[in-house]
Amino acid sequence: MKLNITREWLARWLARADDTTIGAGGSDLQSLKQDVERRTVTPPVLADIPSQLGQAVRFVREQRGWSPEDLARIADVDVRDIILIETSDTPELSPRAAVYLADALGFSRTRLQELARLVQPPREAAPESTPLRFAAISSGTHSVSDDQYEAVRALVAVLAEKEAAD
Amino acid sequence: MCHLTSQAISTFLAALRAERLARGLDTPAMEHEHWRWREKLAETKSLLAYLTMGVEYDGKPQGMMMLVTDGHFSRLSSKTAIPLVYVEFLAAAPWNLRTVVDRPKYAGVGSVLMRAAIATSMDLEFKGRLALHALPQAEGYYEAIGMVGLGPDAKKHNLKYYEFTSDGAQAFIG
Repeated sequence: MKLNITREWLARWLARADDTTIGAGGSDLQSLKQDVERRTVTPPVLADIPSQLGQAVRFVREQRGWSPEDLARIADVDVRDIILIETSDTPELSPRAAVYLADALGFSRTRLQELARLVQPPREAAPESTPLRFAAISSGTHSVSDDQYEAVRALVAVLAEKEAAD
Repeated sequence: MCHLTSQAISTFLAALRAERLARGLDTPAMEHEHWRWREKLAETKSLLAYLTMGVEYDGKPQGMMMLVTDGHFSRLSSKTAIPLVYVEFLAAAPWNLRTVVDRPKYAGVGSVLMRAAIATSMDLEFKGRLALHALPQAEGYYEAIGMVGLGPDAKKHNLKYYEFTSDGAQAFIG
């Protein structure tokens, strides 16, 4: 950046415009955080993930900048399990893997296990009473809509709330 | 110009608090979010699109700003997406502000910051195009330097939105 500011230039403008009242910017922290999040976890990475469980795992993995291998190592689970969770319509998660993954991702163990059970057919869809009935599943477009993105974010937030049983 | 550090922010906030305390003033609710620079710096520090800069003089930080270099487009034209630099926040040190102290120490800090924002926009080949949301007491300044006002923005606490067109920016740096 080249800045060549002369005394004359400054004097000329100060005579016309008092800059001792200057100030700009009223973004609240919340909306700034949302923008930052979308630059970290971009909506397209969530697009082709068929399950809510997969989207939630991928969201946090992207947030932390982890590859599937990183997450596998940190959680001490098989990397094939991670890939399966993010690509399968009906990912299966052993109770052990659920606990280890929950710990690595900062999720509630109970809630992750609950979600893992819900995605396995032929069980019914999430009952109305559970907070885990959030994320809409995207259908093969190359990105997700704002609503879908927010739904995944909300799901991640719910998963991150610890429960008494954890 | 220098990098914006959290130490500079602490200096600003301490001065602001002291000044407000001395006058028994509360921060207006709308401006409250404006002052949360430290958190905003922390949130964005790993992202290339967020640029921060400061003005230092006499061994002290005198002003600072945060620019967003992508994802923002001119609202003057709805036909095509014309990119510009968005000023996320911009502030002179409290001791340089007429709204905080009776006798501002240095004038010109804001003008230098605006020049730097325009220079950044030119570096990115945005031709000096710039946008920001003005704090109410600063509206007169942005109008005086030739920015185009597009009125209050309901999404930003009703702060007025201003743009520098490339011609306007060119006339300003003249």
